[in-house]
Amino acid sequence: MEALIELENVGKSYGSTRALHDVGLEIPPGRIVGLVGPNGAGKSTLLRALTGGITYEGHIRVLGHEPHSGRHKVMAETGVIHDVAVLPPWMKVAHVIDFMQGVQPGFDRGKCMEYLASTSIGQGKKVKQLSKGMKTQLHLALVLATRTRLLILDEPTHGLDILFRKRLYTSVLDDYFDEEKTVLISTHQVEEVEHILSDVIFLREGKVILYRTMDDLRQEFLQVIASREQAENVRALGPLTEHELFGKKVFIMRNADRAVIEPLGEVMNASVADIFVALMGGDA
Amino acid sequence: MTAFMALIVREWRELRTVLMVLGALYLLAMGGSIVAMHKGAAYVEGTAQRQAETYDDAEEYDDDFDFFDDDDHWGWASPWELREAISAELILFVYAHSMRGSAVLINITMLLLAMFYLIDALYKERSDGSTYFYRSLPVPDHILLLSKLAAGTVGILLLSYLMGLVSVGISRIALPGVFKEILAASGQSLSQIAYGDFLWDWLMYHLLLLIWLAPYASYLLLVSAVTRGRPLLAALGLPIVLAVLVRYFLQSDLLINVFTTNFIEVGKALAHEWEGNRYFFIEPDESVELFRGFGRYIWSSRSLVSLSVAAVFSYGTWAAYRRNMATS
Repeated sequence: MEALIELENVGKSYGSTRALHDVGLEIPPGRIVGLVGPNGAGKSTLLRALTGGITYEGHIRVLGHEPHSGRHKVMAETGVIHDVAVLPPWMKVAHVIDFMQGVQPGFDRGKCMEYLASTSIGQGKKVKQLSKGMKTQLHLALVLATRTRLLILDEPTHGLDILFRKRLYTSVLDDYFDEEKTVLISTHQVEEVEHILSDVIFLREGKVILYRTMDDLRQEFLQVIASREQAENVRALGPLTEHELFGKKVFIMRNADRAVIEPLGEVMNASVADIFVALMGGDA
Repeated sequence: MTAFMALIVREWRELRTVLMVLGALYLLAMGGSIVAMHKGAAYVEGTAQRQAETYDDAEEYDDDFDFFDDDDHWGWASPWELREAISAELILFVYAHSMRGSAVLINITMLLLAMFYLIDALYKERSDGSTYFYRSLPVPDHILLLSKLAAGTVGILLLSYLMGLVSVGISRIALPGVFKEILAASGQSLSQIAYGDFLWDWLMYHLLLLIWLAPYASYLLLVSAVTRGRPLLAALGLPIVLAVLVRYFLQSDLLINVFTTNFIEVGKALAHEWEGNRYFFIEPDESVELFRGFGRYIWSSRSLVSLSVAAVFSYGTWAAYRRNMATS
């Protein structure tokens, strides 16, 4: 199946700072991809390159278009929610909806109203009068009511409480996602999206250090909780990391033979957050 | 509704409070001037009648009303003389000149509005982050920018034009009633003003403004797209500093002249084409044209240069806008 997003040797510099370095990716339709990295890893730069916001080196195709020169073509089938509240603060909610109807051919006003009906957002209110959570809900309503094939969420839950966060991801799953569509989520909160991801990308210092499906990730990385006595045996197998928890040693193993390590301790799938920390060398 | 129209509606919604306040002030000023004219007319009429009753022979009485005689010399006029000639003075001094005065006032107000609008147009959305929202929509950058430029130039000049028309309309309806008796006495009418010509000339004048002021408008939008802070200061400060440096080091006014030339020339064109001063006493059936016309200014090398400079600035704005430059 043709990839929705293709990147080849993509780089970007801001002065002497290299924000992206030789990034190559192919993301097919029907995936929910988590883009994970520490601050300054290049996540926002990558998303801005994908949405046509910046120039870059290398080649990018999003939905078949080069995003910088064909930004408007990409945006005809892409919904984007940024990490900061970006809806015009002076606009009334009703005017934002009118505006979307005028500029976005794929916008379904009825669907948007339906979504907003389940919130406490008044249409007569100005955007600046809404709370951070309400602004995100409004933006989400606008995006979910638009027929798109790609949804890009850049730290969408930044500053939201747990109820809003849960609702946001539930909406993305229930109201948006299907096998024709792809969702790309950039987040620090790995643990809250881990259960919905199909793929994960780790970015560090502008480089992709890992891009796996969640199934492959579970195969590749295991967590072993071993007693102090067995710790040395596990160490001999070359774990990625090791730390102590409640008097036991916790190891993250990569490409380890499950049959070999099972006798050494309790073996389970490593969480994305643990793998992330392990691969980042503990500095994430 | 096309995307462009939706963007224009967005601009209207953002600006409409300011425009409504300006409109209210303008209508208030219009109403005030009509009331003043009404009182003035009543005063002249009343004075003439009282003095006619006081003096048996009004012709012997010299009062202290200023007036032009037949040779265009300023002098004294008796109330009777004043009353006889008041319709001509009304049409030229009260009506025509007040139209030009209000037109210039409207123009200046609208140009200031355009300046403040354009300098903030992109800076504001860059600073509040809404540029990311607009650029996440399937609208090409040049359409987004064109909507800003169009609202800040064509839109505001169109409002200026319409306000001019409203002024004419209101005065056309209100003034004949105010000066009914005086006009009737001399057999003259406000319909002697060539309204059709005025509407066309006024439109052409606004087209001239649009073309000759386009470099200033596109420059302001460019600054709005690139400045990191204090856009108005940046927009005005840079040319002022450059002009002062050239003046100081090279003893030349070249830059000052370059920067101000279109403003000065558009003012000269307005003054030069003004026909009001040519008529002082008019015959009852004479048609009064207010302007000669602005066609030759529009079809000029200045227009070509202005549009070229505006195109260069606009390209710069487009290139800068696509880079999403940060504000401070």
